[in-house]
Amino acid sequence: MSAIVLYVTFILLLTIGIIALLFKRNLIKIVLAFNILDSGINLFFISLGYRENAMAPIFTLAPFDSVITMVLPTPQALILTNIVIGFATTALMLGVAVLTYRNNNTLDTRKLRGVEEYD
Amino acid sequence: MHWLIFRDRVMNILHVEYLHWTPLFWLGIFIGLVVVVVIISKLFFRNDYNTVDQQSLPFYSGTSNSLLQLITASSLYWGFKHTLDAYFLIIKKLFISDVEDFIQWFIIIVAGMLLILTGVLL
Amino acid sequence: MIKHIPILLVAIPLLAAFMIPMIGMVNRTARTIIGAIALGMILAASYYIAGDVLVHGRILYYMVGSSNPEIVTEHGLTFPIRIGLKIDPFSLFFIIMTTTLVFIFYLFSTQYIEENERKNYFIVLFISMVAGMMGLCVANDLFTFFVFLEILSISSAALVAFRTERKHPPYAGYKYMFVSAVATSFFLLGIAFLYAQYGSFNIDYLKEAVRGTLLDKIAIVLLIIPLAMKSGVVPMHMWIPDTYSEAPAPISAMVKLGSLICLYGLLRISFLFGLSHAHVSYPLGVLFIVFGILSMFVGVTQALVQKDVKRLMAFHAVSQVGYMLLGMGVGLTVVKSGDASFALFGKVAMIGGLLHVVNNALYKGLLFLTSGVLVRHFKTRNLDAMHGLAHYDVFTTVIFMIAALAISGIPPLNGFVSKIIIYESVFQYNPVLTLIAIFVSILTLASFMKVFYSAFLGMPSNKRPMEQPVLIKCSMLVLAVFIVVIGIYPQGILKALIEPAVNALVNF
Repeated sequence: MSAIVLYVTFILLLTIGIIALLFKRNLIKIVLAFNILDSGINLFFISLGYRENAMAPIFTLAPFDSVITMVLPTPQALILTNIVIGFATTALMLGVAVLTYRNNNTLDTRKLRGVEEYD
Repeated sequence: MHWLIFRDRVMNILHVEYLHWTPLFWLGIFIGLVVVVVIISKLFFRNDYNTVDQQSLPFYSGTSNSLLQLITASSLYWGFKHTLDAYFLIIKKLFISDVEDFIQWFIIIVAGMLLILTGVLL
Repeated sequence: MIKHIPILLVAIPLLAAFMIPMIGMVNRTARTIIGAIALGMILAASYYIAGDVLVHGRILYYMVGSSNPEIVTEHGLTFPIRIGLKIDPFSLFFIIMTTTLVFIFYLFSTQYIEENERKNYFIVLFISMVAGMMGLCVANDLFTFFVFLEILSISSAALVAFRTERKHPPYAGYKYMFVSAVATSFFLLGIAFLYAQYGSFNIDYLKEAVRGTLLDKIAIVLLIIPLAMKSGVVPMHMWIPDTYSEAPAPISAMVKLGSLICLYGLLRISFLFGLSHAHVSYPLGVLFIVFGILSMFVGVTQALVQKDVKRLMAFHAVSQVGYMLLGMGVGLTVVKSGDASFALFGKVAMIGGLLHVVNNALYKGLLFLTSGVLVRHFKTRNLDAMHGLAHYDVFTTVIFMIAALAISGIPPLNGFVSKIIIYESVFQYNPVLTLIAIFVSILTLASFMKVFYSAFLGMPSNKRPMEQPVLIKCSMLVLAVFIVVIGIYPQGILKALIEPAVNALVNF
């Protein structure tokens, strides 16, 4: 039952993220939409490692000869990496958005179409 | 006998097994032809034409005969562009540099490939 | 010593990149020399293992953190458990190409970027881009690949937005970072689907374990399309002109090299899946061919009508990727067909595609560097305002002519060799593709004639250019020499580098 809730949440976050990505025009809102998308993917990845009736994967406190199942630790380690990557990406995107505002005085993508066409 | 071994070695240097590309051979022939043409021209052609007269100026077949005419780069292939204007208008309308349009095309292609590759559509 | 080289290729640039700000505060020439030493060390390391890996066919494995780094699967386990690095002939081809070109671009950029307080950051980000590229080439593990892909895109985006006092470069950096970030997020989703089924990230283990289920097909689409977007395949190519035109000139060349490395990842992953099942490799190959033809055609017809010189070259970058995808797609279509057509023309098409990769890196890099020299002289990127550089600067004219003839496929330069291999082998598959490719090549020549006419011919302008600094001339000269040598004597690089690479890719 709880697995279904996690997957439905993931689909909802992905949908909200992608729709906000496609239809919002403010640069900062696009960064926020990317963060929602990233959180959805992290949630999906961690929920892959879940096992029924299992403990947290800390090895030193387990008793020596009992049979205990643990959840998979590999996705947790890798999602920590992805969270840090998402943080660095968001920092860089917000930095360049601030620079864009300082140079052009607008944050609207419709008004920022400054590239000359070839006519 | 030695000539046959030497010829085999030379043809092996110049020959790749799936490509008949022997550039050293062709470069040699080209340089030889250039040398021959230069020698013939120095021997047989006249060198008493004057270079300061109208013969050596470019010929503008129009109304203006000034040397300071410059054709800008954007009007260079005018005929080609005007003929294919229908195609270029469509491409230009598709090419908006908004940031969300990049992702729009990406999502369209992902959805299309998912439908095609899993066998639903084609 | 040889057994530690896979990790040293990644560790040396990272160490140099973090040491340089501290040294740069003390002494400026020392910082440039430390960067050159780090890149020179990777260059020497990659040529050092070239003899061993290419000639004897030895594959170097490295498991990070274990007591004996060369054992892939430990005693008592059935699958590999650590982060793995691997160098085989296909990776080594890209490593040699990258280290050589990066060293040349570094020499160019030390004298191209003027000396203000931000040149420290330029060199730091440049060397961390190199670390990202090296990590992408040696990764044996899908998650390692993902992490280094992110390192490469973050460093490149910060460098694209380098000239922050002008209006457009920060927005171009934003667009590039955003496109890369969304692409790699979808890549992670593809990795998640594969992990959910098989429990491992290791590429060698996945090659044995992959069955052709529905989740596998979803995963392959989610893995391939983001990498294709980062390589510049139509119709996801729209970020490329904006990014390449606003970046400084050596950074355009480095970003182009980065997208060629993403093409390496694309090939590696599609052959991972395609070699196991014929019903996956055939549609994938046909899709590659369709994308290749579309990229070639759309890229060059849009390039013909531009009047901004770097935007024109960026569209040509899109079009040349189409040639590589065409060659590789024909190879992928027939690799599992069962009859002799792979040995007949499929392998030759793949050899042509890979040779086109290295040729493209050489002449595209040279074209971007030359456009940097043009922009620095004329102070504008508009072709209408440029005229008459050939009266003063014969060196740049000759170098540009060599690069422009090479990209159009004129003998005896290197573009002709790879293009004729692709033409002849694709003709056996389907003659229409060859016709389209030849037509695109003619239009390429037309657009570079336009650039040469406007920028170099015409009446001379009033100001004389400054004498080019020595390192700029040397770096352009080295690239031009490579172009001419590969054109006249292609057998060396074909037999030594590219055939082992294609064999390693197909036989795995």
